[in-house]
Amino acid sequence: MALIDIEDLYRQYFRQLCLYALHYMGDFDESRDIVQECFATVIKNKPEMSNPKSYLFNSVRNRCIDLLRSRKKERIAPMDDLSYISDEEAQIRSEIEVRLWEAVDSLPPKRRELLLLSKRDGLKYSDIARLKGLSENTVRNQIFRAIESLRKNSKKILNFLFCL
Amino acid sequence: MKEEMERMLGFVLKHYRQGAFEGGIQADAQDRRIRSFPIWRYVAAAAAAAAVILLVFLFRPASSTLEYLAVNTPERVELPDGSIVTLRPGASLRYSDSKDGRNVNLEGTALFKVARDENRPFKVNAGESVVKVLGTEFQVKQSKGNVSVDVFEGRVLFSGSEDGVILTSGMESVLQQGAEAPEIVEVSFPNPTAWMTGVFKYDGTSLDTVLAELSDYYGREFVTSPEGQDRVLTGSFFIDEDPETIVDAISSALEINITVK
Repeated sequence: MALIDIEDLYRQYFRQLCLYALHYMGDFDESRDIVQECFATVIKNKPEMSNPKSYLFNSVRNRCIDLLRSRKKERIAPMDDLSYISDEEAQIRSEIEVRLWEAVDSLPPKRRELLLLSKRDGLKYSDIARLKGLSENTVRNQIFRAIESLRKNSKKILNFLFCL
Repeated sequence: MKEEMERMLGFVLKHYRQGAFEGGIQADAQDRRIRSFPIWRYVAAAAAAAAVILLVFLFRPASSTLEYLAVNTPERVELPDGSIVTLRPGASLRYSDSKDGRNVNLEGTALFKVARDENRPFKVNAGESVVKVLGTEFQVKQSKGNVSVDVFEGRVLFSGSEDGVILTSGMESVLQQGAEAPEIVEVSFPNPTAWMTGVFKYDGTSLDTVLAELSDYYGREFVTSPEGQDRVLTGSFFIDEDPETIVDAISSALEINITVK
């Protein structure tokens, strides 16, 4: 496989693989490192890949499992915030999650910041209002709008995927 | 399907970081080389100092408090809740947890990567200050009675006896000895975690800043001759290098004089 094709694979699957690994590892940097290493190995060894996509998912999964085993984790399975999910589920979700991630990327920066302070960092509306010098109403409004636009986006994503 | 979408969105938001995918294979491979080098050095140093006790675990089942201590190399420990702490040599830490929260008492300097658990806040008591964690990665440094906090990722609440500040990534705050509330300050040094990474890395950094950082780290005072004051420096140095060697290298590269006080 030529380097240029690997570059294409990288562009196409890198983000999705990171999110896939994240379901196993729960740590973004670690997941990204794992995917980077997989691509580095592919570049170095240039293995025969009849189905590059499944080859990449398999090698990322194997690396995750090896790492988790070496840490003597009791149960090795992908999960989201709430519960364990199947490996297949993690693969399917990662594809949608990449698009959601990109949707968060494209939010107006201020609105995104408020959304993350609330949903990611768990700050109360009143704390965010004080921190940012805004009224609590403005904070609530902005976060509500951010979530609305992500919901709309996710509808588009679903329609898009079902049309494929 | 709707509920599933909410879960996926929750998952994405929990881990979201802007620009997290940036940086190609090349950049990362280089990064890793720099990071892996000092670890090798520590192993060598550890072998040389085999007779020295590096890490003391005192396990007390009765109170379920754990104690960690780094003697002469940085120690990376995983706490029972999954948080990772790297202790600077000379630092010690006591950890206890209950279902209401996780508590750490720190003496010295340490870098924290805290496992997220919204129901059990993570608190670091250092001197007269308390750092309450809402996000993930930060350093607490204690020197000359002052406590300073550097945040690398996420958000923390840093309080003195009276009042506190919320810090986000890239911010530094200092609680001066005797003060009731911390102050937010300009980030003082480019390499606050050099004691752990093993490297001082400069990229177009002003010589004044470089010398201030080296002076702070080695407990000396390096002063440049006047013509060095508006010069900038790009390059890397290993922390276990003799400070004189580093300073010599800088002064001959920039063709200036640096004196040690």
